[in-house]
Amino acid sequence: MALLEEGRRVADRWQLLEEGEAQASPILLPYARFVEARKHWLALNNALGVVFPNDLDPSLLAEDLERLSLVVLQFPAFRDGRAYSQARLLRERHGYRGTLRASGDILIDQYFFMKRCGFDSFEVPDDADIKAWEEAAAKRTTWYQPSGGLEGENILLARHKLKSGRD
Amino acid sequence: MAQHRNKHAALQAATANRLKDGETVYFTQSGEWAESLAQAEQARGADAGAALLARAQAAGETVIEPYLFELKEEGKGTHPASMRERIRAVGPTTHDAFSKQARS
Amino acid sequence: MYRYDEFDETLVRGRVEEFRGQVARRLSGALTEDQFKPLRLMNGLYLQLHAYMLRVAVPYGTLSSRQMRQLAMIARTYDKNYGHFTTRQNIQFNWIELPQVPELLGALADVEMHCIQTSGNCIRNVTADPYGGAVAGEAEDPRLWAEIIRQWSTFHPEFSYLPRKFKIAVTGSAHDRAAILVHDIGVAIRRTDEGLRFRIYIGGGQGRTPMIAAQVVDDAREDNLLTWLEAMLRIYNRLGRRDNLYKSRVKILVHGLGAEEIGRQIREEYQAIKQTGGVPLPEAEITRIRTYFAPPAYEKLQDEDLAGAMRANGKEADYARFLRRNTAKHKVAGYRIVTISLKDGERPPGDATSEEMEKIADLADQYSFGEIRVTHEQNLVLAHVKQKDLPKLYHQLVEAGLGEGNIGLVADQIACPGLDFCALANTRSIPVAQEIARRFSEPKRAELIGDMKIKISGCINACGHHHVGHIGILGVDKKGEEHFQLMLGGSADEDAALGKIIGPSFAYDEVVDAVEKVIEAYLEHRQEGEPFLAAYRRLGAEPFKRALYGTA
Repeated sequence: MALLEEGRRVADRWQLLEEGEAQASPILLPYARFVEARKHWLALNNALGVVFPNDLDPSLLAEDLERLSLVVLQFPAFRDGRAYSQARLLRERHGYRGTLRASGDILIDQYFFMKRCGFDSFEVPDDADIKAWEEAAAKRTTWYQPSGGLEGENILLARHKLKSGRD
Repeated sequence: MAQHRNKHAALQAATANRLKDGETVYFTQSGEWAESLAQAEQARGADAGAALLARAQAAGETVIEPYLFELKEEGKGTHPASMRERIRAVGPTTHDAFSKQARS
Repeated sequence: MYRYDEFDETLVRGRVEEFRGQVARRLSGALTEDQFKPLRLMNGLYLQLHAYMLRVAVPYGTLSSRQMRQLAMIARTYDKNYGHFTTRQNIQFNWIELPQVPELLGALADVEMHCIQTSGNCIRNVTADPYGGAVAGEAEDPRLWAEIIRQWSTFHPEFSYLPRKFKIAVTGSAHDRAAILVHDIGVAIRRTDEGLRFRIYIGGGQGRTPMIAAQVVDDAREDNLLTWLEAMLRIYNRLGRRDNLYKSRVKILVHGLGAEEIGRQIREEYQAIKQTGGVPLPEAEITRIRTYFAPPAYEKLQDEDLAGAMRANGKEADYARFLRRNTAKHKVAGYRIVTISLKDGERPPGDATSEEMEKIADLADQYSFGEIRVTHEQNLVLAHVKQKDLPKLYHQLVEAGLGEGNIGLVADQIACPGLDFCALANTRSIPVAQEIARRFSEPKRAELIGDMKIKISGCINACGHHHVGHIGILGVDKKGEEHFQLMLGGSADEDAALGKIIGPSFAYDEVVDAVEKVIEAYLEHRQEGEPFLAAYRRLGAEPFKRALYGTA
């Protein structure tokens, strides 16, 4: 599994914290473990990340988002699109500003949609042709619906030369 | 695509759709894919059927998802047991112009 | 009608280029079938029994004559010289070859057409009343709202991987010709003193578990429509079942939670989206799209004496019938809405040849401002024909073999492609429809029977809408044989109802006789002038059961 961020392959500085492991920084936890001892984790100085299941309401994380540097959302099968909604809610409703990672069964054809939903970190297959991924997304220069992801104008704004409501 | 395979089928053949145009094709003894059911290699019994399917799948580059289907023996000839495979063999019953015979 | 601007154009061309690359990779073997399948489905390319089938989107069923001519060219060049109009107002080609698909998509893009989202677990073609913009008493042309919804739903980043497909229909009239109550979302537009208001329903559908949609909101405003839809789709995307293919449509979620609970959740989500600004739909954009649906340049005309012409006998009897059955009142004096029947007992229902498509394009140019509509009952509409042009138009239709005056009568059936084409089917449906049409081809008898909507599906997926037929026919597999269940009393309009199975199924060579027995029982028991649906509701199933099975 390789990590794609800002158009390049990057090293992953996060690792899922195993039981009994010393708490190095940064700490990545499955949500269940995080919530079990929430106050404990939040009180640490380490950078914190949570792997969040795709069948839970993202508002469960809302209060803690400022303290989180990484939220990992799941695509157990590429057809399972629940994390797209979770991503938009985290970005647009709850104001999450940290890294939002897409994990699981991800196809090059979904990269663009994920970016538009606010993902900025992607687990891709080891042998993924990163250049092809970037080209595939770059080809899509325009889109109808505004959303919390990519910068730039959607068609509605461009047509009517309106300002983005996000600012 | 659904597989219509009778587990107790005595007589079977292997079929698929051609990648290029979706045409119904049948696996022949010489290892090719032919448009005509008459050229299909037949296998009797589950073991021979499994072996036939394996050969068909190994030769499956130009076709999509080979599978086995049941043949029924009637008099001197054989024809597909299911309506679905009969239609795949001869073409839609709705227009004469679309029958396989008309196309060849 | 809507014309692409540079943004719409860029989107579609981008998709064509993308798919060109994907087809090349499949043909070279770089992509396996498993990897290619979701990609080709996103471009509306199915693999069926004998060939690939390509489904072309016809947004809310509206075509220009230029587009119709291009479809004719495509049918001639890439197919076997015909196309099939579907129950979602789209068109399908049944004999496409994979290497030619990118070129074909380019030809479609040349006339602002595409196959985007005609398959897959995404929002599909938004359908609308085919009389939109022409019929009296309409709150507004529903097609303009279908266009707004189309743009919002195209390449939506959040809703492209739903639990299952999602179908939306819009009506602007009290009389629902778009079957909105059996859609995943149905939108009904009305006009109040304060302006347009939308009533939005969720959870209708057919298939394995047919259901009538539940109302969510009664008086949504124009600028909030997309916010409501976004709330509904988000709830579905998050909560719809993904574990069981047969329980994954939104109707199952609505049924499981109950209308009240899902309404509450949707309203809550709606409020939350509103709080961060809502889904933008600026007045300027609504106005911009409205201009594309402005009324055509009608002439100032008087109404002709159509009533008189409709009573004619002798040589004019066929024309009179055509007027009675195939034309409807237009909101503008001197005009008439004309339906061209694609049901004649010879052709499969909804099929048209390239020549016929070209002829209809010419007729549209001559008589109807160059515009054609596809109905969900697989016929075509010329919406703005001058009444004084009706005799000439009729004459040309007859010459072209398109003059059947049978709209809404027994021969005007809906039939899915069935086992002759479709990999999912249990039974054939087209030959059953052809035989029924032949059995009732005598025009006087057909008119005596009156309004009769027969709908035939070759399997439980109900693409032939059998649940909402006056007589619905469902193909089932009975020990490897083709069998058919009959159900009676269904209706797809604003008094929507699901048909009830009448009894044990019939074999392939019995089903048309069974249909005839039902119709004869109706004729025997009906009151003066009572249509079939009313008679069935009054009489119940008994007389029909007796006629079919001999016992009460």
